Amino acid sequence: MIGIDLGTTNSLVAIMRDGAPVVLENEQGETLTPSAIAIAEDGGILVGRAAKDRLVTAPDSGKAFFKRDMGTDVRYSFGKRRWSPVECSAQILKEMKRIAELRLGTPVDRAVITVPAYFHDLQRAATAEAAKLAGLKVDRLLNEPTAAALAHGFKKPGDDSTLLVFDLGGGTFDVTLLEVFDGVVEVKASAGESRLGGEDYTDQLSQWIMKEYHYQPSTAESGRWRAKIEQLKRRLSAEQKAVIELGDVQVPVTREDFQAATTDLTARLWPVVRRCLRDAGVTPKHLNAVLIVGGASRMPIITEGILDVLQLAPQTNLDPDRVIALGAAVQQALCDGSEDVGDLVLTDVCPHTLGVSVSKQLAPGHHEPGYFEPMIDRNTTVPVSRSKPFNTLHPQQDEIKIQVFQGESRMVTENQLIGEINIKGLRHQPGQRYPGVVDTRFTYDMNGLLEVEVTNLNTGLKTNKVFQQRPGSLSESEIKTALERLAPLKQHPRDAPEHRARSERANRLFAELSGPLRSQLSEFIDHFEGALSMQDPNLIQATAEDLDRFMSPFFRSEEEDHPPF
Amino acid sequence: MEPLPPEPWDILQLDPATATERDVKRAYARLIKSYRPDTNPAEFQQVREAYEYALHVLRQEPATAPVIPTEFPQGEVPPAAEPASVELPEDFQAALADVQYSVAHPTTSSLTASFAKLRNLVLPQVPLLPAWEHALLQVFADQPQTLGKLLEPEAIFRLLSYDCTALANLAVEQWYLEGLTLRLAQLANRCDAMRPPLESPPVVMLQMRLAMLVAFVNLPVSHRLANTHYPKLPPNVRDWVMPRLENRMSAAKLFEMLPLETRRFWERRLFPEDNETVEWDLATVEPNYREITLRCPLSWPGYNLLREVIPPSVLQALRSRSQTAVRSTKLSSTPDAGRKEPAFSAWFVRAVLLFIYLAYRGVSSCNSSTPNYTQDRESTRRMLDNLSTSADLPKDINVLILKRDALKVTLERTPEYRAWKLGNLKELPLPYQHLQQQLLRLNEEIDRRKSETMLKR
Repeated sequence: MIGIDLGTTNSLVAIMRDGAPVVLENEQGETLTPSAIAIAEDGGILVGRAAKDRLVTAPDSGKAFFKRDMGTDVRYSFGKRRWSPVECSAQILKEMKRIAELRLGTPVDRAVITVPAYFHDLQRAATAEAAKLAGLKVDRLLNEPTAAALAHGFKKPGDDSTLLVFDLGGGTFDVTLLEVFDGVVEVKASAGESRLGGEDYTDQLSQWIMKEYHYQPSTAESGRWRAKIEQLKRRLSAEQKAVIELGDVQVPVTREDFQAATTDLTARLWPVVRRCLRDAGVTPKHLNAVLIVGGASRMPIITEGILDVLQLAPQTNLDPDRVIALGAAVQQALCDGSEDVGDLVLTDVCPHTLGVSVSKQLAPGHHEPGYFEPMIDRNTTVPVSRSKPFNTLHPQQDEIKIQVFQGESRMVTENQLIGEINIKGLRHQPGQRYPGVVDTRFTYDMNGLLEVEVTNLNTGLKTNKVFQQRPGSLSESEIKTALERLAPLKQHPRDAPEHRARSERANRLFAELSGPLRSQLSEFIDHFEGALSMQDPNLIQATAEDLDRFMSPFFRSEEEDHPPF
Repeated sequence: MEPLPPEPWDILQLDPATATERDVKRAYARLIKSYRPDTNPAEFQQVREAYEYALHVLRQEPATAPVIPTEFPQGEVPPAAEPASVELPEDFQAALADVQYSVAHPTTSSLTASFAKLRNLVLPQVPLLPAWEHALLQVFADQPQTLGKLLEPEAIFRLLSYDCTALANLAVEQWYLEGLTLRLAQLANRCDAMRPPLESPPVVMLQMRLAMLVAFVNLPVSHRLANTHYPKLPPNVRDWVMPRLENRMSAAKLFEMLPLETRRFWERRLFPEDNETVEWDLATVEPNYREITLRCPLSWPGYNLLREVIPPSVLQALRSRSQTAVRSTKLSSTPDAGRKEPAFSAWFVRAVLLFIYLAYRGVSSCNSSTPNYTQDRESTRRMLDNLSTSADLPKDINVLILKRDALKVTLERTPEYRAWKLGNLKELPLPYQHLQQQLLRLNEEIDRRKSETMLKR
């Protein structure tokens, strides 16, 4: 029925009307609803513009930017109770539903809601939960850049083009590469960073001003301070120079100042763009257009950077603020099988690599546990189903624990554990055709749900499990315990600082690469580690040189900070 | 809805011979309108895989299917033959000839000295003038190892940095081969580790690994072992093996670059078989390789080596004939009931015939400890001299008596091969393309600094 862009800063709702997506306005004629809630003085709940205004005068009476905390256990205290990010989001969704019902005149119970492509499943689950609280059934959780491309692809169907969607929103950064041809909108790769966005630019600018002019906003001002900086940031997008009032003095801030204050943020953008291009196997010269999405990507420092890195001026014919909501409306029409969208087909990819933990034989008779065996590579088109057989290490071993991980590291300790399945009854018995072998099948559907099915090949017994919830990334303390667990291991050639450094580099590169290059690298690393475990100095040196030779081009590009194309 | 056919091209309803990327995309777009990802996930995946496969094939075609022209029209000269040698300085020419000679007649000291001489001349000239490069390519086209040794890594990097030159590609080949040899050695060790359990009741994991190795080694060489092992595998295991193979295609291509005897060595090392029946179909084994080197000690009794390269049945037939008869026998007409005769390449047959000829002419009875070794060697030489003047033996067989240990018979690679190889050196494999870009930038930097210092002067 409706498509909702649930943003970090603002939210929008859109529908298909007369064959085209349109964004709906509220009673005040506004399309952007600030994603903020607050408690009024009389104890009533304020949502949107009103809440944002209330937060200026009474910062502790509510909360904005809660999207960043989705999927975590963070709670906010205001209005005499504690709020979870899910509850806050539900309020916004309720407001969206209300606007839609107001404009449509009919009850609304289903919606497509957009999420950043890099949201992991717990964050997606949290979003779905918020929708449930708001009384909406989620037809599809749509990745934001995909929505943008869908809006674009819908506008200009039939054109063959390769698009890069550069989505720098309030709190997240996503890059997605798409190909549009013959009514197919195909996501080829996506990459992103979950904690980088326009709000970080505002923070950085605020800190810079406070440091540069030794200014500390007074308590009375602190509520308005952020809004003031926000305004300054916007003015700097339009003009080279703007003035900000600090107390009773006016100080000028130039665009160069802003740029200098945020270089480190901007520098974090390009590696993500590069990884996305590399995963898609596309060079900038193949790109037909760059779409910018999200208010923050309109900043001149970003658009100029894009022109610099990709040699292509970003397209602005669709309003970056609205394009996601428009795409969500198109997707909703697709879900409804509406005639408005005709034969448009959208294919998406899974953003993370999924796999299991395995032991590797590094040398004859020498097994090393804890390796990540990818089952579904990142940026594989979904839905997809892949299977691989695994076997027990010893004839007397009766049980296999299939641990499912998500991540890009070669060792599972650095990836996220999603869950596990135990299979028993694998002890070898005479007459078995496949003693100790299980077939493991991963099925990933369009909503990002993973089903793992393990079949004991001898008995034909199937065990399956659907993984809906994935824990957040490892916390500091978890990393610490993991490291402590590793510490007391005996001294070994692999602990020589030189070899450790090499392994670290290799593992880092492993996380960067994908597909054949990744398996090539994996093989080089295996040889190297095999040599280490055999403790044969000549072989160690030979394999180390091989590994270095393979890796050097990639790292050289990183050190120079040149794009590798 | 009807089930989709199993073959990718059938799913797309396209002819692989004529289809273009555009056709594939159109077919894919058409198909997924009916097999939508949200309503028919399983069929969608099939269509998707067919689509990815087809695109992969279309984009890979020129690299994976090198075809040597079997015949060159008379008078057609390979394009690289044009640049004249007039511009080459005499000392360069002399050094090159020196290296060429020492490679053919290797002694350690002469090799080192002549390499050093040539290297000193070449290095300062990088990037090389086309004529220089051409001359080097002509000499080393068949010998990436030698070129790799001649040029130091730094020089190779510099070469790479200038352009995607054929010479640089040739030099890099050596690195690939070294890496491959290392990998093969490790594979062999792993195979050894796996072998004992294989004799006990079948262990499917090991079978898989073995099948993978088999396929890895054999894919480009022949389907002989692959054919014997694959049918034994359960289908799901085959499914598992195939995607892995794709990642190894580059390694497999490298393997193809190794000389035949080296490949044979590794194959036997990896997959020893007790009752080996070897069938070599040179037409499929060696589609783009025209050189075969047979090397054997002078104490060669004659058949041990031959057993390795020709089928026992043929050998039996050969053994039962007199040498004169053998020389005039066409192998294809050898009577052998119940077995299909392999189609040998003419080159190979001639080389084998020569060996047999030599064996019967008394060379077999000679070894380094024989008192009349020198005399025998002399007589062999004379005999070979006679051979090469006699009209019925091919002129392009080089026979070398290496010091002490061996007799080496080489069939020169044909000019067609050289032309093909030189043509193919243009394409650089993936990791080095990347490297090349890096070096290009480095070199610009170097050039810039150079010109700056020049200006200062």
